Amino acid sequence: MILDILTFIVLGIMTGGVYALLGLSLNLIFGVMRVINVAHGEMLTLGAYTAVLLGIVGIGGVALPVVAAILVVTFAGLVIARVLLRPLTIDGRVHEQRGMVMSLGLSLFLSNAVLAAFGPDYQRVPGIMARGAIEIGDLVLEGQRLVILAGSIVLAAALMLFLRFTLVGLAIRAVGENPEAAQANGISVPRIHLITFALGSALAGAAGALITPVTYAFPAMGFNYTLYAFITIIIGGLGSVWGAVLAGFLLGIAESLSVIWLTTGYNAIVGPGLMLLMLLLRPQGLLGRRLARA
Amino acid sequence: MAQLEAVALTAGYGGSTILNNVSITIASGCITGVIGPNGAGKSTLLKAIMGYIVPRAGAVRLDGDDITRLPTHERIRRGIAYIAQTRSHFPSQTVQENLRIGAYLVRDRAVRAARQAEIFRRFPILAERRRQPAALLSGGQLRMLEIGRVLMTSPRLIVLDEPSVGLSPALVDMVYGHLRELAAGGTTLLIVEQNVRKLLAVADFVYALENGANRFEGTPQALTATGVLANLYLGAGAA
Repeated sequence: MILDILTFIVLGIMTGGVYALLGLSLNLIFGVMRVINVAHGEMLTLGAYTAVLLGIVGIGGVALPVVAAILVVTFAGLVIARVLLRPLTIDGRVHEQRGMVMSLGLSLFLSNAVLAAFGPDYQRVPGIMARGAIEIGDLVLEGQRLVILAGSIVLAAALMLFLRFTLVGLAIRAVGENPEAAQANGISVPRIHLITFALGSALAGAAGALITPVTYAFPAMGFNYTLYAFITIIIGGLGSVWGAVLAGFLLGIAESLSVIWLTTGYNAIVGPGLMLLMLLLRPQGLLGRRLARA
Repeated sequence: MAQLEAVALTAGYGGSTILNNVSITIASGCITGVIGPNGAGKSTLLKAIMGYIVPRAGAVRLDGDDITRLPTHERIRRGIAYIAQTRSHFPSQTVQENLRIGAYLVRDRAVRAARQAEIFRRFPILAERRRQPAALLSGGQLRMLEIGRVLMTSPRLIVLDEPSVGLSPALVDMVYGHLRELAAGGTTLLIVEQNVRKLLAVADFVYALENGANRFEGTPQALTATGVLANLYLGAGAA
């Protein structure tokens, strides 16, 4: 029993890394642009199918699919931000309702485009990545899951360091806090929006390439990840970086542990359930600021 | 010589017109003031000058170049600095980060370091609190930070929207002392104020707006002599 619990916790930490990465990147996009990006999960789908495509032509490994996914989704993010979001931007923020409706349409468009291109079948990246495991006593850690965790942590840390220590990172924070004042310092808000959306999307794309070796890729996979990204930032607190990280791991662990009591398949209520509980008890989330602003 | 000109500006938000055919000229090296009662269109005028709104008619010129449709950040690049009425700073960033954002366009590290040192000499309290978030500063310290922030670019022209707002008389004196010093150093200032007395004491030239239109222009002495002031703020019957 103890071993089971330990195993599930470890498994949960591994999924949690992906939730944290998704929550973090969704939070970044919302915090800077104020767009409620319902198509965030589709960025993960694009990354996953980039890895699938590479697998089909025989390119595998750990780094290459992730790098390719980052490149592909960065490009997609730039196009979406420039073509679809810029016209909806007023005074340095994307119009909230129009942005959300647009991203909903985009989400449907992208998942159906993937369906048209790859068909409805579940796809899996063959081979190398999924092999290997580390055993600590009776605890078995699958190699690929460790890769996912390490990859998520490296990417999340890279994002945080980038925001904290670079000039562009500072400009991104400035635009997030006050776009009008940011412009008054010579910062081009449209440019920062492009960078932010591409960056946030690329991280979701990287997550997609990381997870495909252990899960299947299918056209509608993005929706569930969008949902979990939102659950993560609602539990962690809208706009809170560390909140998203904390909530991502908590969510992963809670969901994983619940399998002990709930049959797999039924444990899908854990995430949404936790979110509703959080909204009831602490609407601002774990580390979020209170919603009422002075 | 005219450095900045607003020529026959008509502007507003959505369907409403707030400014109607307003013109002002800011001469290089001077302090130009704009006064007027609430709703006269002072802030709208500044927003059009800074590019936050595009006027429906008229033009904004900087050194003779038409900048009417230039985005705000491009105007900053051309040497205008702007201190908004409220929240011209970034509360969750530290004092030092606020100054770094102010120097966003300054590529040379040595220049940035020298200017920051100069700002810390001018406002020692900012040096003391450099690692604290701006949210923890007092009202007077925030004004120092905002002035310091724009000084990071060594601007030729600073546009200020009500620099005295929310400050005690002593702090207003402090802020205006610094503004006077900057003007003496050759920086052009455009100041919009509610605090008419303070502004008239420092300005070289004043515009009065009323109901979104030009009402008066001239020296502060001329303004006080005409009785326009009483009309503006107390209504026509009081004159």
